[in-house]
Amino acid sequence: MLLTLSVGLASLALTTWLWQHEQRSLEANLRADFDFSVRQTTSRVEQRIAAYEQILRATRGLFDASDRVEERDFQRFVNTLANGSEFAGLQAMVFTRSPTAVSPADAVAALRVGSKPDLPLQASADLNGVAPITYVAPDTPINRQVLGRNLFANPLRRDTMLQARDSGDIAITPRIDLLMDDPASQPAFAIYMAIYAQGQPVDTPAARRASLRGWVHVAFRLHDLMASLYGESTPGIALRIYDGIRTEPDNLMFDSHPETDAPTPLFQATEYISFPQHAWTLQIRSTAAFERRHERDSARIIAFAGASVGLLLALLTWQLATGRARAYKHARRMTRELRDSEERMRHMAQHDALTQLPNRALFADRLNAALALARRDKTRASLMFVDLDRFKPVNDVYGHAIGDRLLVAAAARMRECLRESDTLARMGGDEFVVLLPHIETDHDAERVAERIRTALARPFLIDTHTLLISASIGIGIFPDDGNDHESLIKSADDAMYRAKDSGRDQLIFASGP
Amino acid sequence: MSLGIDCLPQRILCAFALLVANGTAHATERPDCSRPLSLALHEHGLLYSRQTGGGIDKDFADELIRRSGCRINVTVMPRARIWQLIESGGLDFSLSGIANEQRLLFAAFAWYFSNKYYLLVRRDAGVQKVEDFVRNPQLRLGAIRSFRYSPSANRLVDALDADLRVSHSTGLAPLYATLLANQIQGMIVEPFDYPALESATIREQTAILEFDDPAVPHGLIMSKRALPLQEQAKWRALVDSMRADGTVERIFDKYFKPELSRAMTRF
Repeated sequence: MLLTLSVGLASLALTTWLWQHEQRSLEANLRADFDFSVRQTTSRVEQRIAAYEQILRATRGLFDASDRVEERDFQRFVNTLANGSEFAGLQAMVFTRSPTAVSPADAVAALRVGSKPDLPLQASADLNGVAPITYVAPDTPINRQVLGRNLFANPLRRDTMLQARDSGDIAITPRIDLLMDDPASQPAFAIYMAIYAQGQPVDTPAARRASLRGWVHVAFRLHDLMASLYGESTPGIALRIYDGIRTEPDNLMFDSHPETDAPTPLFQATEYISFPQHAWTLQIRSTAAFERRHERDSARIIAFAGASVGLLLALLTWQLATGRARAYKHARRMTRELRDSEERMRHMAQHDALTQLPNRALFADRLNAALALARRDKTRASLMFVDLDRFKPVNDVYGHAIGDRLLVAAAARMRECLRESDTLARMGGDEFVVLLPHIETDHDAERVAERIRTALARPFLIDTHTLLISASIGIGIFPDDGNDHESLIKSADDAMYRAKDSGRDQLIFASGP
Repeated sequence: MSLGIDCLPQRILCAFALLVANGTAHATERPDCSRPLSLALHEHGLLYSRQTGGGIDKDFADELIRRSGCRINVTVMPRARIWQLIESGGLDFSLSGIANEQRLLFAAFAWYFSNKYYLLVRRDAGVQKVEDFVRNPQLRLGAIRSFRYSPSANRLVDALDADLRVSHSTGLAPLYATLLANQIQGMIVEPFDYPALESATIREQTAILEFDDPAVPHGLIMSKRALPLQEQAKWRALVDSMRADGTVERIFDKYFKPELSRAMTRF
């Protein structure tokens, strides 16, 4: 039992270990895949911004290549650039001349945008602090509406433009509204790059300020940017982009899965994309689809198969360990059954089936043994033949069933008249023999025979029938009436017939008259 | 061959001398400038600032361009992108890089300064030792993606990353902001970050813990895929000459106190 328990426990421990190992391995794979998805998502957004930077640099190249870039040149250049599907999200490429290069008339016009044309400008209006849009491409009716608008009117844009001017690099605005959009429509951004005068030093912020020629900028809606990303988005990954570092609802600019908001995603990562003086926060979550994509039944199969194999092993061990004991037990039971069966066979061979009294064969054995003993000890023995009188009519009138029960009852009464050492046997039909192996005198035999006769003469109640029979008994004495069993039997048998002939219900000695 | 070395008794030493002589021969040559080369800067404290358009790396790149006489296009990009391009051969150089086993497979280095790393933690995080940070599961670390540090700092970052306790950024600036907003409680800093650390708000709210590691050498990163071995040796010799004549130290003197710049450049 201990061995079985040990094997069972060892199997269970191994299964648990394998199951845990598989679980860990699955989790590690999930984690690695999520990490990869996070890096990929961040990298795709970064690369898209880098692509916008590239077209700004290309446009700066156009201005660097020529002292005077006409609007027509600008339009053609941008149209060629925008032909690529890469810039599908691009709404407009804009050139804005440096405030110092703006004519007073243009500055006044820019300041009047949005106000009534006949109202005088405020005295504090600074004509040098005006940056009206000079060119915008592609040349569409919506884009044309923004020509001449003063970009410095929006402090966010102004700060970004000055930052781009001082660094010589790109600068990205915080969330703004596009000039051509209704206010507070979709979150949008602009990326600015300064353009400097040819041949002027631009190695320090001061030098860059001095040689500023203007800005080019691209404006885009975040949803358009995300839609134009290369390749499929990672399945099962939800992305939110926030303006700034705080993940508050007001800062939310993009949500790839707005309808699903699982309270506790399996994995969640926060990544920051850094721009000069500005950052975006990318909140990346795994969704139920991500976990389903990686769902494998191996851990469950290991647990189930391991538990089953463990159980079978334990069962097998129990079978092996207890096999010998169980085989012994089985053999003992079979031996006992065999012995009982032999006993039954022997009994059947030596006894009368109806009365269970010894039959003729067993009686012969006992008689021989008794006579041998008596011969050796020089003692006396008696053999009686008992024949039931008037039995045949009972059989005929009441049938064999009643007759058989009468025989059984008669046998029982006779048995009660005998000692344990005496033998009563049924020779067949209604004929019985009694062996008294040791008697002192003939009177002992007579007394027993008389007791039998009296017992059988009493009425028998079988079912509802009162039956009356009697017995004719012939008594033979050893050695007087026969020195061997044959002669003794014959003597007793003869005596019995004599008793019958003499009127039944009596006993007659073989040596008697 | 007349090298002024008696080659007969010690053939092994002789072979070594020949190798050295060969390397020196390459080193004295000017690098191959037959094609425009590319060098990427990354925005990081005093190394480079988009805001000012200047920094140690910018000065170093200018001097490298001047001495080599090569045309080198200088761009600015996130550090993670730089390492990708160095590996693929899409970029020839970058600056202030540190080596590890994996990077040595695709990048060669020419060292010109070394520095230590420190853990900057919020004072209210209850962190007295570096180990305290790992023990408290509530604390998050901010890190720049792809950055590597000294061995102990690497261990800290990797252990926290395995527990999803690291927020990555493409640049340094958001990390200071998130640290002040208590969205992260620590970040790893180096001497280039000193000006930011000296700002009153950061100094009030943070403490600096030192890692028990020696200073880690930093150098010019060269893409093995883009530059053959001989060219790498020439560029390494150029960097060595900038160190030898004090140019590197002079550049560092512009940004650090003399004793610190000496400690960083003389290693």
